[in-house]
This record gives sequence, C-alpha cells and structure tokens, in this order.
Amino acid sequence: MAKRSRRFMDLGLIQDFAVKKLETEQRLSRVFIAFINNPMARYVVVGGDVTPCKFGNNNFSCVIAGRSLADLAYGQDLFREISSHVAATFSEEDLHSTVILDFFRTALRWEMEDMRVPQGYALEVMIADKMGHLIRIDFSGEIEIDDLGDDKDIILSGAYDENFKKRLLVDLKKAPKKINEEALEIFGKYLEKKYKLKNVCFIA
Amino acid sequence: MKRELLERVLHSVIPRSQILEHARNGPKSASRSEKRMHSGTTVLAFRYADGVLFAADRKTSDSYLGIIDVDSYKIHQLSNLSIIGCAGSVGDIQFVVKAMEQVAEGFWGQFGYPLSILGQANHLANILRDFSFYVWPLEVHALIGGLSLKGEFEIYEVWGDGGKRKGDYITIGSGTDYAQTVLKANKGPIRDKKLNLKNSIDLALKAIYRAGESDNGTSDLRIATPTIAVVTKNGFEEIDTRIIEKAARVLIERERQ
Repeated sequence: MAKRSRRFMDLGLIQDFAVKKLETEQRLSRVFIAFINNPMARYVVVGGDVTPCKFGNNNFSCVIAGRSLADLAYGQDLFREISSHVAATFSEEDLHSTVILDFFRTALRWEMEDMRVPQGYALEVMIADKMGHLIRIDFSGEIEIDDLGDDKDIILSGAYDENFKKRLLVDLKKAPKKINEEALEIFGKYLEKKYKLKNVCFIA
Repeated sequence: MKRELLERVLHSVIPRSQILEHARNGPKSASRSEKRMHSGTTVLAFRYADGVLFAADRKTSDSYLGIIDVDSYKIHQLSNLSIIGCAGSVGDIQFVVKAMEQVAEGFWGQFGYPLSILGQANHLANILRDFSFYVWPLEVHALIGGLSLKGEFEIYEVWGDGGKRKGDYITIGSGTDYAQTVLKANKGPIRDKKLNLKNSIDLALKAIYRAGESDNGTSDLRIATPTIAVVTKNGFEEIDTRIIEKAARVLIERERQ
C-alpha cells in the first residue's frame, strides 16, 4: 500500500514538472533568437516583447532573450553573478563561453526542477565564442552546440509554436545578406508587423 | 660600537626580518615555524625573447643553521603553459602547489580553456589570504608565470598575506637582495626581451651564484646545479641539467679569474 501511494506521488510530481515545462514553453512560443549565418555577414535577430540584453568580453558574445522583463532580469542577475564570481576567484579573462554555459545550464535546470516554484524562467540564451562555436541554452537548461563553419544558414532558438516557427523560418531566409542599417530596419518592421511582436532587434 | 659589531655579525647569519622580530619581541621559545623545514631559497623569474624563464637553487634548510637537502626542486609545472616557484615552509609549499595543480587541471578539464596566469595568481592570493587569518598562516612566497590567453608572457609575485604584483623580473627568497641586483643590472635587455635562451641561462646562473655566495639559505653553485625551466609558445620545458652544468662551469671559471 505504501509503495503504491509513493508511486502515485511520483507520478504527480512528474505531471507537475511536465505542466511547468509546457507552460514555460508556451510563454516562449513567440520569442526567438536567430543566428543568420551568411558568407557576407553574420548577425543575430532577436524577437519578442521585451528588448533582449547582450553581454560579452574578448572571449565571447552572449544574447539573452526573455518573455518578460522579470525573466530577463533573472538572466541578467545570473550573468552578473557568474562574471563577478569568476572575476573574484580567478580573473575576468577566465570568463569563457563554456563557463557561462556551465553556470546557466545548471541554474536553469535547477529552477525548472525546483517544484516549490510554480513557474519556470522563460529565457533563451545564445553564445558565440572566439573558437567559432554557437551555443544555445534553452529555458530548461538543455544545450545545443553548432559550429559556425557549418552550412546552416539559420540557427534558431526559442519559437516553440510550431506554426510560428515554420513561417518565421521562411521569412528569415529573406533576411538581408549584408549588414545594411536601412535594410535591417525595414526587415525588422516587417517581422514586427507580421507576427505582432513588440520588439525585433539586430545584434552584429 | 659593540652593538654595531654585533648587528653586523648577526646580519651575516640571520636574515634581517628575524633580527627585527627578535628586537621587538625578545627571544621566543621554539615555535612551530622554527622547527619546520624551510627553503631559504633564491627563486627568480624573468622574461626573455621566447617566453619566461624560472630558476631556483636546490637547498632545503632546517631553520637557519641546518641543511636538509641540496637536491630539492622548487620550480613546479602547473599546466602546460604555467610554472610556479616557491620559497617558504616546505609543507606549505607542497600543499599550495598541489592545490594549484588541481585548480589548473580542473579548470582546463571542466571548461576546455587554460586558466589564465592572472587567474592562477589571483586564486593563489585568495588561498594565502584566507590562511593568513589562521593561527598558523601558510608560509609561502610564490612566483607564478607563463603564457597568458592574450598571447603575452606574464610573471606575478604573490606574498603570504595575499598581495600580488606583476613584473618583468622578480626574485623571491632569502637570496633576493643579491640575485635582484644582478637582474636589475640587466633590466634593459629583459624589458626589451633581447635575451636569448643561452644568455638568459647565463644571467639566471649568475644571479643564483651571487646569492649563493652571500646568502645562507641558497645553495652554492659549486655544490648543487640550479633548476631552470621555461615556458615558451611551445609550452613548458625543463632545461637539461647537462646544459646548466656546462654553463655553470664556465661561470665559475670566469669568476675565479
């Protein structure tokens, strides 16, 4: 009898976890970070309701996109905590993409698996480092690493709404091939209008 | 007059810091630090054309009157791109070197990048600072050097209280005054990185020779061949003892004339 109730309890926890994950995924359904990998120019397009934040040093560049300002503030806090911790223990030179990856992955996974907190942080992180790697960390701490030398034209993170993702990928193929301020602005306005996004910005 | 004479005699056998402590506090009973093995030591490091060079004598002293060993290694490889050289208490040095090796290896293993030289110096400074509040602080004075992530060769001196400084040429240990004088006389070529490996070995040996002549804690060049190691863009390399012995023989011969 005791065994049975324990099994039911576990199942409840897994259900709660699945719901929490799904809810966070839904909140990020129309938030995306896309890396445009053209031979002429490489840049990042970020779309969502709030302005993303960008960090970096000589070793890497990192973009954090979130569903709301509260989510984004958590990402910023996390980044500042990591950078100050590394600078105090070692030095600022030792803040590498893999250090950020390790801390973010652990923190986001911890937040997702902590069932005392009902809502996960809706954050997507993309890191490009000097070794030519593009690292994506999703809201649950899962990671994907791509080589920038690969043939992939578009590397997308977020956009968990499948219909939105399909249409967005078609549109991102039309993204300007060169970094031209006017062309990018026009393309940004087009995405904002078509997908009813409050903010689309470009990071070179 | 008597006092001056006494001080002069004392200076020739006991380091100045000991005399000052004795003058301030009076004679003290045998403490832990007096019983421990010390490497009185001359460890030096400077930049040369291809990287950084570390050199050290081989003597381990028991207090200031006994000699435990004249075959000690005071320079240790931390990673493929960094070296540490230490003066102080042997047990504390062994602890610090082990801790630093683990950190350097662990960082590389976990994050896939080498820990920067500044990062290693900061970490050591943090360890020493933490221990400085203990009843028995770590008696370590260290030099850390190697190739930084920017592609520059760096040398840091870290004191027992957690202080640190960067320099082109630095000497630590009881033979500092004598060896530093030799390096200071060559500061131009060191700063301009004009010294090649052969000239650098000769300079390092001369500095240790001078220290060995006058300092009780440094082994004489005629008795023990110093250890010399370099870090270049190709990584860590310990210089062959036969090369050092050959250069030492030439130096000793020249000094005799």
